[in-house]
Amino acid sequence: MSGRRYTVRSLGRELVMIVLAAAYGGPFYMLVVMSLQSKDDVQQTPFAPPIDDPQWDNYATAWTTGGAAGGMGPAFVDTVIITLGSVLCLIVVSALTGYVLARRTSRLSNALYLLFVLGVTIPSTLGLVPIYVVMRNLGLLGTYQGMILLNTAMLTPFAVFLYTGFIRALPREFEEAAQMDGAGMFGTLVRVVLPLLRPITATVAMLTGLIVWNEYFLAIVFLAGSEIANLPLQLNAFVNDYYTDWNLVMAGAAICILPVLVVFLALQKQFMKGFAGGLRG
Amino acid sequence: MAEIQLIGVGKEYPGKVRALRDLNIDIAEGEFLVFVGPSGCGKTTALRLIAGLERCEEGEIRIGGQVVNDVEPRRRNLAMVFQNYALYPHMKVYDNIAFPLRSARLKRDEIDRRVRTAAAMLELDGVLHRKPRQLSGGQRQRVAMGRAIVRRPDAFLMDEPLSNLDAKLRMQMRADVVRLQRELGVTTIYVTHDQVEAMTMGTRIAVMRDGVLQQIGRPEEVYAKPANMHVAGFVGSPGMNLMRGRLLREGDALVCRLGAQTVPVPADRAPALGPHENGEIVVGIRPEALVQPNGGPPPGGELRGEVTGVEMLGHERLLMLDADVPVAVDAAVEAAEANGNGAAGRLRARLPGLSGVSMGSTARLWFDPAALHFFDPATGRSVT
Repeated sequence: MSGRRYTVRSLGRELVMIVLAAAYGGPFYMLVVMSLQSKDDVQQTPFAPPIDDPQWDNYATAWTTGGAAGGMGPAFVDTVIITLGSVLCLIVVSALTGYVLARRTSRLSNALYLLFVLGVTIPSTLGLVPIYVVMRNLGLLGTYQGMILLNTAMLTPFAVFLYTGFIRALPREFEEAAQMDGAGMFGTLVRVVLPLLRPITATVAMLTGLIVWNEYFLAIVFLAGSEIANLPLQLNAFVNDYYTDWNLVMAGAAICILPVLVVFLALQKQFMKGFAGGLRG
Repeated sequence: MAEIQLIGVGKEYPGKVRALRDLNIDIAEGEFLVFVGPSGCGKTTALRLIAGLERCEEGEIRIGGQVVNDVEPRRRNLAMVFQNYALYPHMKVYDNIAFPLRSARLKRDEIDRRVRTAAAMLELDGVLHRKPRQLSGGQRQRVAMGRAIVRRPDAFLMDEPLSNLDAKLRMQMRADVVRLQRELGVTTIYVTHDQVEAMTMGTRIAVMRDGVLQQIGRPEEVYAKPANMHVAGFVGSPGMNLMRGRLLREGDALVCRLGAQTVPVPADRAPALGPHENGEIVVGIRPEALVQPNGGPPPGGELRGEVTGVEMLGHERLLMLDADVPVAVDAAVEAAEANGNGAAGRLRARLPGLSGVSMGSTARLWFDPAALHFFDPATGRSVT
């Protein structure tokens, strides 16, 4: 064992980490500082922390005013509905699809799996016009159901890809044991397989939830002209052609980020397990 | 409890991989049958076919007289213990053991009573509230056993359940499994690659190779009268020494020429060996049948060889000898290696731990000619 544990290399590594932390932490600092400044201060001294007079009102103003939805508050509710709905549908559809694709070894299931992989690689914007026409004909433009359906369809290939990979690495013995223990197909699925998928379900929920939560492009196309708005769309309401309320934009952005942070911190253990793909019995 | 019959059972996997060929076995009610053989011999396939986890397309499987080829695994009333235990990681020990009972929709009181009885039997009372990952290997193994016995199945199927345990624990669990099986009297089919496990546990053992049943019988029968070279090389620790020689007549008696050495053939074997006179023959002798000269009268047979290896095991010594004898290879080598006996090209002897032998010396070993086995070199089958 070497006697000197703290070397020049350690110092170099630490410096790199500090620079990286600053690069990631800097924008957060600005976000918090600017969200608490007054309209004037944010233009003149955007980096100075408003220690004397933090404008907590900015959050209340952002929460209740502006845009089609009438503030970040209603948009927050819309976004929660759309995100929860989409993630729930995605989990049900993708877990079942992934299970079948992973466990069936026929050529058809291999071909279907490839189709899903293809779905991940092809940009969804390519199909935007026909999707818009179909959605309009079905009367789904500017509705919760429409957005949930759309997000589910767009993200299913990605979620199926994640589930299939995880289930393929999962020993079949658990299912075989359940079969031997007298469980039917449904019982095996509900009592054994789905609980074992918890780590990957957390990963799928986190990743797809984040995508749906931050979705701007689809929202601007499919929610335009309606009373429903998600958070990114609503955030844009504070940006005007001639003048932007940066303090409100930042307060709104903080409102967008906070729930994501809370969920991530709550689920991070499961989330990491899902990525590692491991399962110990 | 039920008897299990395999009638002409075969299995071919996609890609023309034949795992099992024409397997015919009757397993009596309450019997403990052990399938033993090297990896890839078809023993696990046979077990999975009986369980219903693989589809049986050739032959017939009967449980309690009923053909079950098309019966789902859950309706066969068999319990299985898997190699890696397959305990449900998200459930506590209690729920793992209760799982089959809940599947059978038993009443809550009855489930609780049975789980606690099984737990007491397996000394798991203190860990019922733990998750499988918080248990030791031996405890996990016992939970798997508990899950199997709690349902009172017609038969237990066990797929190398002790292979993940360390040597000491394995020995203890071996005894526990046998005791449990005797107590419950449930028909048990046990798969292992470890011939010691097979010999010590089974009421009968079925030795498999390349998907074909080589021999089935009581352990002492299979040990004493191996049906072919493969069984001879596989069963025993180490397996039988197999040497290639020529059968010659000297006066009235038959002898076997092994390289430069000659060994006598017992007179009672002569009629069966007649057709091989002046031809090649494979001679087998168990390592434990070779002894050091002890001052008494020689028992009739002697082999000499240079000591090329000595393994001290405490109570005994394992000797490796270069006897300049052509060693019968093919099946025997394969079996010996699968059995972990290592260099099959050499003669091996098991001597008491204190016997004074040193590397490089020439050892003289005596044996009773009645202990010799003879095999047809063309077919590998026993000729006596």
